[in-house]
Amino acid sequence: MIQAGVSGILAGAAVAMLGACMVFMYRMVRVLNFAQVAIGTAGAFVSIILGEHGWPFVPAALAGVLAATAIGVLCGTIMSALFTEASTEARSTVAITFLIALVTLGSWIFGSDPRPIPQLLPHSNVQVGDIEVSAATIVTLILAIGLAGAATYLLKRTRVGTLLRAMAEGSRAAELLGVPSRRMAIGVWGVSAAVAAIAVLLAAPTRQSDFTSLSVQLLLPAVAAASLGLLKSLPGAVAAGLLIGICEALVTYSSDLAPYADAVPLVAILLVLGWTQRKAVWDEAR
Amino acid sequence: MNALQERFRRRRTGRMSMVLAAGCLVVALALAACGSDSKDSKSSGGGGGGSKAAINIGNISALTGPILLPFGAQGAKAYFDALNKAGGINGRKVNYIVADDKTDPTAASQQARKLVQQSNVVGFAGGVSLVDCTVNGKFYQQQKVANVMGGASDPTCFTNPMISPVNTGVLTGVTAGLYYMGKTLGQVPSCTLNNNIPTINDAYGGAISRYEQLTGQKVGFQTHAVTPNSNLTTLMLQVKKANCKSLVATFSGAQVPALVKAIKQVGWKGGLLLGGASYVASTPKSLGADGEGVYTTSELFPFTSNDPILDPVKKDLKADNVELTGLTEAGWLSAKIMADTLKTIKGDITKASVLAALQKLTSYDTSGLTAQPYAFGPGNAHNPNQAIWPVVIKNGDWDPAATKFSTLPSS
Repeated sequence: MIQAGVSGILAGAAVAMLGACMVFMYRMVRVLNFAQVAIGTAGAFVSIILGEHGWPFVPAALAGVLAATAIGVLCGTIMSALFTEASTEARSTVAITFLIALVTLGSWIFGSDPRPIPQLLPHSNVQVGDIEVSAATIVTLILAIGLAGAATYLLKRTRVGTLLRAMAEGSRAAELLGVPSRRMAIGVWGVSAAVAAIAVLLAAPTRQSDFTSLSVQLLLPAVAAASLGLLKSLPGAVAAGLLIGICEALVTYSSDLAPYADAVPLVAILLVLGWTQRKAVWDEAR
Repeated sequence: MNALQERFRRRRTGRMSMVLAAGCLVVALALAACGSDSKDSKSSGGGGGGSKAAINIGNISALTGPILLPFGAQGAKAYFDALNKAGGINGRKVNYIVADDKTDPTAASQQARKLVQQSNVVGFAGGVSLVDCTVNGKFYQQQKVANVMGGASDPTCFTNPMISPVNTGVLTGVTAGLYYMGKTLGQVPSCTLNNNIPTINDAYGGAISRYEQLTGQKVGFQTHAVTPNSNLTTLMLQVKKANCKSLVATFSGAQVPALVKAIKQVGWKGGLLLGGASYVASTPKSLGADGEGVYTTSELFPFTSNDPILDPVKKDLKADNVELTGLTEAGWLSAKIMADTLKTIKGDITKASVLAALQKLTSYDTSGLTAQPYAFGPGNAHNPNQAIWPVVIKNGDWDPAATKFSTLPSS
């Protein structure tokens, strides 16, 4: 049972990284980025294709991360140029458009066949008592927690973080005070895209490996993790991502519950919606 | 002021919730449409019963929608095209009408009625569909129209007096796979992981019981709840814990790389045999070096073989520019069976005469493409193909793992 729960940490940590990215973007650039996973998948597929053409894994992975960054920057530029003053709801809807465009383009470019995805880390396990933990699980877990810690430190303790928070409070006002809001917003898109590519590369070997499946299968758990972090808390989103991964694994482990494993992220989203709307009157919420 | 702020905050949260819900809906729709593509179905009219008119043969397949299965239709069309070029059946051409069910029950129902009642098809051949048998099984019985299916998976395809598929099917495939790994290779206990398919789930138990009765061996671990999102590492931990020495997994090709990675992840050492859906040319490439030694299931003579048995199939498919796969081979064979049956009919070719001729067909020589002769016959249930040919990945490509079919004993 414990071993089963541990086996969910790898998937959960990748979901945690993606969920944390979504929270970071929601807080900094006022968008619930539904295209987050698709951008990461595009980058991951660039590295897979380069690997198929004989590139060693590390340069191929770096090129993939750079490609994802470029796509993120492009999306950020479009958003900054055309939707700066738009509401969060409108900007999030634009992100859905990015998702549809990327899935369509990705399927067209990369096809629907599954791809051989290189293992980022070797198949070595660490024995902790009776429990075996893979190297990939440990590294991904450290990355997820480290990411949340670094982002929190950046925002609270550094000048860039102060500028980012100023931008998040009011883009136009911050710009009048000399904060390069537009460039910083584009930078947030680029950094989040790079992290998403790393998360997808880590999770991809144990996922269905065609472009469309990979783009959408991790999205629902990532949105659920961001929601459980109430779209505010980076550590909350990371903890929620891990919890979702572990819950999915435990549900899969139970023969009776296994058919419902896919419903875990949806249940989490429904719980969050129910909780945040618990005092809302229907007419007011509408 | 505070009340105003609170109201603003609530309204904002409410709107955000709506965007969140809308986004989730989009994701759900995208998941449902995974891998979708679009192809137009080809259909035309024409009578089937006149002495000089073309003979209308129908096909219901998933040409568009979430799951694409046009391959049986392509293989059958290639056979009929070659037949028509050679003069047809006693001078009459075959008009092969392929209809798209989109893996949608409503579309499948409409297409069956259109083909039988408007296009007057005298029978069906080469169909590959996940919904046709369940939705149209009763209709075919009412209309007394015969169906030589190319690729069937649904149990109702094998328990209908009007339908006799040429392929083994998922359930017999599971039994035959367990039999090969457990009995022939002696890797016991054998275990099985199967996709969660609502129309099949209840019948997996019967397929496994059959293996246990045939061999006296117990299956070590089984689950039929695997979905594209399933955590395969968790499932492989259960396989390892059950001390399984071999595993039969009826996964689609896209899930296989993740399964093989999960096997490496948990360090399980055993023989892996995949279901027929993974016997496609792209699988060895998608597995890379990890794929060496992985078995799969060929329900007909292995299409990757260079044996001359396949030459007639290859010739017709090449003329139509159709790729040879397990399903195009099955479609070609079902078309040949239907055409050879039509040739035996004296007098009018109608639904009734085609059904009567097929009910007399109790042993059709498939020239080595299947283990046993094909049969339609007068029975209420048909599953003539009771064998698989195991194929293994060797040097990055499929290679026959045996020199003959692995056939299930009758009892």
